[in-house]
Formats: sequence, structure tokens, C-alpha cells
Amino acid sequence: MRRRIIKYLSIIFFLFTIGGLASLLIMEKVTSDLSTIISLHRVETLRQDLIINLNTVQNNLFTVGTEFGPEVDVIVKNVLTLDRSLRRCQSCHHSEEMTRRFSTIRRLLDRYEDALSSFITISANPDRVKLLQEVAAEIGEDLLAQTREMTFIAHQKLQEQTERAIKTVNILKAFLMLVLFGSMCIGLVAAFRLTDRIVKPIQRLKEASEEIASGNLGVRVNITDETEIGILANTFNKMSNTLKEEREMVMRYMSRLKGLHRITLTLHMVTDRKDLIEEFVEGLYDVILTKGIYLYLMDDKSDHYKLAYKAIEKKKGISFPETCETSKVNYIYELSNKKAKLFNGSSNEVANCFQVQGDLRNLLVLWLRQRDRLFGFVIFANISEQENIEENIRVLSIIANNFVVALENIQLYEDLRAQMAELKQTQEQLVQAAKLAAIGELAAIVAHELNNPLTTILGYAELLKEEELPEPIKEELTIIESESLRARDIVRQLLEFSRKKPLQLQPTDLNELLEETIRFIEPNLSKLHIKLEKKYQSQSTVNIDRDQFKQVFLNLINNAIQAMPEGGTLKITTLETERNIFVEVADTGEGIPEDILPRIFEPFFTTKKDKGTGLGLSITYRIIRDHGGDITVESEPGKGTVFKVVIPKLK
Amino acid sequence: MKKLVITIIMLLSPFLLNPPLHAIEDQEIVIGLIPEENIFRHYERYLPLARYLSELLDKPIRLTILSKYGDVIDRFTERHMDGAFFGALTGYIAIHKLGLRPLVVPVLKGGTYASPGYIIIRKDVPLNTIKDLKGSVAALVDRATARGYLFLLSYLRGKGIKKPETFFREVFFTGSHDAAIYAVADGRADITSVKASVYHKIIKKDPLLKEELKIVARSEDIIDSVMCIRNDMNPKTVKILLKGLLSMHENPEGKEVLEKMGLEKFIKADEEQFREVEFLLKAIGTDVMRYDYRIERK
Repeated sequence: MRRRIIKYLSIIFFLFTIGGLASLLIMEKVTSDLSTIISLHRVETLRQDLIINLNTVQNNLFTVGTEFGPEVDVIVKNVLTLDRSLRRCQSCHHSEEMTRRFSTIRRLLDRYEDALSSFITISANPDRVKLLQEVAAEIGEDLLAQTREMTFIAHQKLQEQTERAIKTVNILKAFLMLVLFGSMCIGLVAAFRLTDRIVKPIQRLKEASEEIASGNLGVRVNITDETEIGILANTFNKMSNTLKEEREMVMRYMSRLKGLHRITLTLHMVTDRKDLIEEFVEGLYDVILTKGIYLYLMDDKSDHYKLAYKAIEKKKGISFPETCETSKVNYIYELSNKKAKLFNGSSNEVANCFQVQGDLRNLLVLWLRQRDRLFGFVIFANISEQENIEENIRVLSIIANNFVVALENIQLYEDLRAQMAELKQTQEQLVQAAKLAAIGELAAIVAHELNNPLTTILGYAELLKEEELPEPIKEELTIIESESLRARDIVRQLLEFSRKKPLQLQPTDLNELLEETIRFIEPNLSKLHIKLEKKYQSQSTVNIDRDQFKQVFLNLINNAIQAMPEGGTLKITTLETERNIFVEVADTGEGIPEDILPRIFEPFFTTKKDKGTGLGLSITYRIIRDHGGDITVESEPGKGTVFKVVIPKLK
Repeated sequence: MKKLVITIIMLLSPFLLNPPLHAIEDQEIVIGLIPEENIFRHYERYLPLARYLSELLDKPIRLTILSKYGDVIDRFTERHMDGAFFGALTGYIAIHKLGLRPLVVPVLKGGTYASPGYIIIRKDVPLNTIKDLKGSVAALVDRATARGYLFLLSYLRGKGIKKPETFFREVFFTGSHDAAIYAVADGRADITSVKASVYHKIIKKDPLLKEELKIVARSEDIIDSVMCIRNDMNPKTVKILLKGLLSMHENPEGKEVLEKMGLEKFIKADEEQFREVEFLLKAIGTDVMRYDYRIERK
């Protein structure tokens, strides 16, 4: 580019130099001509002065001595001026011809001066004076003629010289115009070419720089010439590429750090096994660039390695099976010397073992060991970044070991949590039992103390009814009797609640017992607009006190019916697992508010105000617990309530 | 009142129109020249001196040349001259009649301030005795010249010719010495009387003339020229002028001017230097006060 610029500038400079030199030469010539012309004009002026002076002196010649004639001093000055004019003319450089003419004029002037002086100073008779005047005048005329002739010749020369000078000036003008036009054309061409070759690439570079500034690293400028601009563009492209690579590297490091942070955080914070596995694998995906990561863990039941989690690219183009045979895995484990290893994609042995489908270029296996026992492995398929792979494997191995430890911790934590839950439950049961025992004892005392007065009140009420009494009193007696009966019923329930009857256990089909219970209330259901749904799926029998359980079911069904005053669906289900039989009594009633849900099994807790004693569900709870079972409740206000009863199966 | 103002103006007008000489002298100094030779060359000859004196006095000096010798006396006052370079006779007359003060006398190359007068005829004029010139034409310089007129007059008187006007067929005055020489040389006259220094200058310029002319008689040396000034000139100016002129030959600038004028130096003038003029006047039977230098205008 520099050469090109220099080339263009050299051409322009050369043109200017040529033009300048030629102009200088021509101007020199023109200046010389003009100088000559000016000199000639000066000479012309001098000659004009000469002629004027001559004419003046000639006039003086005819007026001197007269009344109107000039003083001698004036004539003297005029003649001296004339003399000086001639001397100045003579002093110029002249041709031989002109010199000769000037010599003639000089001689004539000398003679003229003599004649004039003689004429002025003479004192003689008029004829002689007249003669002298004529002589002087004749010489003066001659002098004038000579001077005029010379002036005419000089004028001609002046004209010729002027024409020549004008011609030269015109040539100079034309030449200068040509040089200027040529320079302008070349300048324009150079400007366009240079603009095209400098400004446009620079503009492209500027735009690319702006793109880089806006974050689009790696942008390229397509300038392929070998000029400085091309080199600059090439350097710019390299710089852009380097920036892109550096940023990608930074991003990779950031991603790796993010992954490591994620994994580290996960290993320390996550207590859920599933979450741990997910976060671990996803974290690994951030740590190393790969097409997919597959985590396999040993399934003790199937004795196979099962795919626990995978993180793959959307367009993966490669797949691994859900399970891997233990023997094959062990083979690879041995093949890799029980260490993490990067296998080449061409290793069919590995591909076959893992039943890989798709384009496998490489495969890194990271082994998960717990107390020297292999219990899982991680596969990294098609790692795209193999630089520092050894370092990466080392880091990944450390992470894997930590993962194993974290997994073990979670197992321990889960076990601990289960034990804690069991302990808590036991504690709650103990508290509940103690509470029930205390309430039972209190109820027994209260019932015993109330039972005798009630019996007395009821007896006198029955006796009075047999008497002839006014009808209003009889009605009041009826109320006393019914209320006493209700009080006695409450006392009876209290006694029943407090009394610990020995369980009359017998193998019982719960479906049959449920049917027997339903038979008492079924006729009223249609009246209450309640639809009954039954789903008996249990088949086994359980060892229970049949009467007490009948009371349990009756309580639960009655509660359900009472919860649906506007009608609804009563759903009774039995289920069976290996160890237990489940009975679910569900309604679509109002549901139980969340704040009172934990208290519904407490004695004397009721929401029915005057209608209940608050002992039904307490007795139900106690009966089920006496049988080694359990009862839970799930309720959602407005949607309904489900009571779940668990009863251990017969062993 | 009006009459009084007019009267005052009238009384003052001579002074206003003709300012005192001192006043003019303060503005410029006017030096007169006699037409000793070709008036143009003569005037030009004195220009360097005028420039020199102008610088010396720090005021302009104007030269004025007169067409006739006698005019320098007649028109000295009229032309407001402060001084003039006179010939021997005009100088002598000016000193006595105008009361001018002789200041300096130019010394010619060779150290002389005086030169003789020549009576010249053409060689082709037959002349055995002066009587042979009777009826010829005489071209004299001027009546106010010693060598151009008085000398010939005294010469003729010495030869017994008392009335040259009747002796010659025609007498005319050329006004300058060189014109008189050329008049004889050209044949317009047969005899003339001129200043020897002018004759030698012309001969030097045109040596052929020497072959054509013949010197018939030679006078005693007569003072060549004299510069006289007004007697009432500012003494300070006179002092500077006198000192400057007398010391001209001692400085390069002055020397150069003298060289151009063909002079060696200036010396102080005194009346003794006019002795020969006085003799010539006496020889023709007159004196300076009675002598009529004017030429009758025709």
C-alpha cells in the first residue's frame, strides 16, 4: 500500500516537477521578455520625453527674446533635460544600428545646443540672428525627425517583443492548464483508488472492531491482498480469533468452575439421593466438554448396572443402554486396571461391552468404588477437549470419589432419618398412651361417680311418669328421662373408653366385616343422597377383635356420612400388600380444617357441639393401636377426607 | 476705516511683493552665471558646485544664467541674485557699480587664475597688417568682456584704429567666447577676440580648428573669473561660503567637484587681481564708472 501511495504521489510530484520546471523556464523567458518590454516601454517613455523636450526647445527657439518667451534659465533647463534624456537613451544597450543612430542624434544635439546657445547669446543684426535661428531650427527639425524615426523602429520592436511575450505567456498558460488538469485527473484516480484500497478496508476493519466491541468475537475481515491493509486485516483476524479462543477458554474454565462449584455444593448440601445424582451428572457436564454423560449404579436386585442419570446433548447421535451387564462392566474395569481411562472410539471391545450405538470417537470411564467394591461408573462419551485430559481425569476422579462419599452419607442420613422418625412415632405413641390412660382413669372415676345419681334420677323419673300428673309435667318428666338416658350413655362410653377389655382376636375377613357394618347404615344412604362405592382388593384375613373393629368401621362410616350433610360419595376400599391390609374410608364432604387435623384423635375433642362426646375417634384410634395397626387421615377442606387404616396381616 | 486698511496694505505691499533679500536668502541662494561659453555646457559645468554649496549651507542653491554679459550687472538685483560668477570686466564693474563683495577667484588647472586674450582670424584671411582687415566682419563676445572686447579695442587703438565700428564692415556680438571662435571658424566673421582658455578648450576638443585659425595677438593675463556676493549677505552664510570654497580642494568631495569644473581650487579675491582690466579701460580712454558695457538692442 505504501508503495502504491508512493507511486501515486511520485507520479503527481513528477508531473508537478515537470510542470513546475517547465513553468519556471517559461516564466523565466516571459519575465525576461516582460523585463525587456518594460525596458522598451521605459525607453519608449524616454524617447517620448526626448521628443517632447525637443518640441519644447524648438518652441523656445521661436519665442525666446520675445515678450512671451521663456527666461534663458528655462531654456537651459529644457535643453539639459533633453540632453539627459538622450544620455539615458544612449546608456541603454542597443543594437549597432541604434547605437549609430544615437551617435548621429548626439552629434545633432551637440550642434543644436551650439546653435541654440549662439542664437540666444548673439547680439547682431536681425538677419544674422534670423540666420542663426533658422540654423538652430533646422538642426532641431532634423533631430526631431531622427528621433521620431528611431522611436518608430523601437516601437515596432516593442510590438514584436510584446507579441512574442504574449505568445509565450499563452503557451505557459496552456501548459500549466495541461499539467494542472493532468495532475487533477491523476490525483482523482489516485484518490479513488486509494480510497477504495484504504478507506473501504479500514471501514470494514472498523465495523469488525465494533462487532468485537459488541461481543461478537471471532468475526473475520475478508481482505486477502498483500498490502499493509491485508497484513493488518490478517493480524486483526488472528487477534479476533485469539480473543474468541481466549473467551471460549475463559468460558470453558468458568463452566468448569461452575460445574465444580455445583458438584461441590451438591456433595455438601444435597441430602436427597436423586437430587445428588442429578446435580452430580449435570455438574460434570459443565466440567468437561462432552457429547453425553451416563451414570450407571449397581442394582442389587437385578445384579446389573442400571442407568441412574444421563446428561446428553440434544443432537447426541449416540446412545447407551439402560442396563449394563455386570460381567462386561467388570471386564472393562479390569481392562482399565481399575482406573479411570480414556478409550479410543476405534476400540470395538469397549463399544461392544457398553452396547454403544452411534458415532463413538472416544469414551472415558470413571469408576465409582465404595470400600474397594465397584458399585457404579460414569461414562463420558466423545470428549471434545482432549488437551490436559490427564489433568481432567485426575480432577474427575477426585470428584467421583467425593460423590461416592456423598452418596454413602446420604444413605446414612436416610437411615438415620428413618430411625429418628420411628423413634418420634414411638415417643408420640407413648405420650398418647399415657394421655389416654390418664383420661381413661379420670373417665372411669367420673363415670362411676355419675352413674349412681343418674340411676336414681332415671328411677324417680320413671316412677313419676306412672303417676297421674298434668300433661305439661309429664312432658317435662319425659325430657328429664331422655336426657338422663343420654347422660347414662355418655357415662357408658366413658366407662368403655377407660375400660381395657382383653382382645378377643379371631381371623377375620375385613371385606366381610365391612359388609356387615355397611348393612346397618346402607338403607339410610339413599335418603341422605350419598352414593356408596366399594372396592375390595384384599383377600387375606387379619387377626382382630371382630366387635371392636366393627365399632371402628361404624365410627369411620358414621363420621363420613355426617361430613356429607348435602350428600356425596362414600368410598370404601381395601388393599393388600405383602405385610399389611389397608382400609380406606373416603368421603367427599366438607373436609377437616388443617389447624384441627392433628387433634381429631384426642379424647373429648369434637366439632359436633351438642351431638358428640368427642370419644368416637379416640376409641377408634385406641382399638387400632391395640391391634398393632395404625390410622392416618388426609383431608382437604371442601374436597373431602380419607381415613387410612393399616392392619398387619396374619403371620 | 476702510481707507486706512487699504492705505496700510498699499504701504506694506512692496515688502509683501518684494520680500527682503535676507528673507529670500534664508530660503535659497541664487548664483548668476555669465554666458562665457555655450550656455548649456557652462550652466552644467557649475551644477556640481551648486550642489556642493547647497549641502554646505544646508539650503538650496539655484543657478541662473544670463544671455548677455552685461545682463549680469543689469539684472543682478532684478533676479534677486545673492552672488554671481563674473568675468574680469563684469566683476570689476559689479564691484564698483553694484558694490558687490569679491569673494573668491577660481584657479585653473596649472595653478593660474588668469589667462590672456587672443585675437584670432581665419588662416585664409589675408593679413599682412591690421589694416588689411578693414571692411571685414568682426565677431566679438560682448561689450562687457575684457578679452572678448576691451582687448581688441585697445589693440586696435594701439594700431591707430579708434573707431572699430567704421573700420569693420560689421561687428556683432556672439555673447560667448566659443560662439565667437565658431563664427570665425565658420566664416561668418573674419576676426574675433576671445578668452585664451576657451580657445584652448575648443582646440582640444576639435584639433582641426587649430589649422584653420590663427592667433594674431595675445593680451596680458587677465583674471579669468571672480565670484562676488551681495555686500549685505548674512555674515554667517558668507563665512561658511568663503571657508567652504577656499577649502574645497582639501576634501575629496570638493576636489571631485573642482575636477569636474576643470579647476584646481578657489583663492580669495582682492582688487589687485583686476589691475589688468583697469589698464585696458584706461587704454581705451575710460574708467570703470564711465564705461558703457551695454550693447544697443537691435
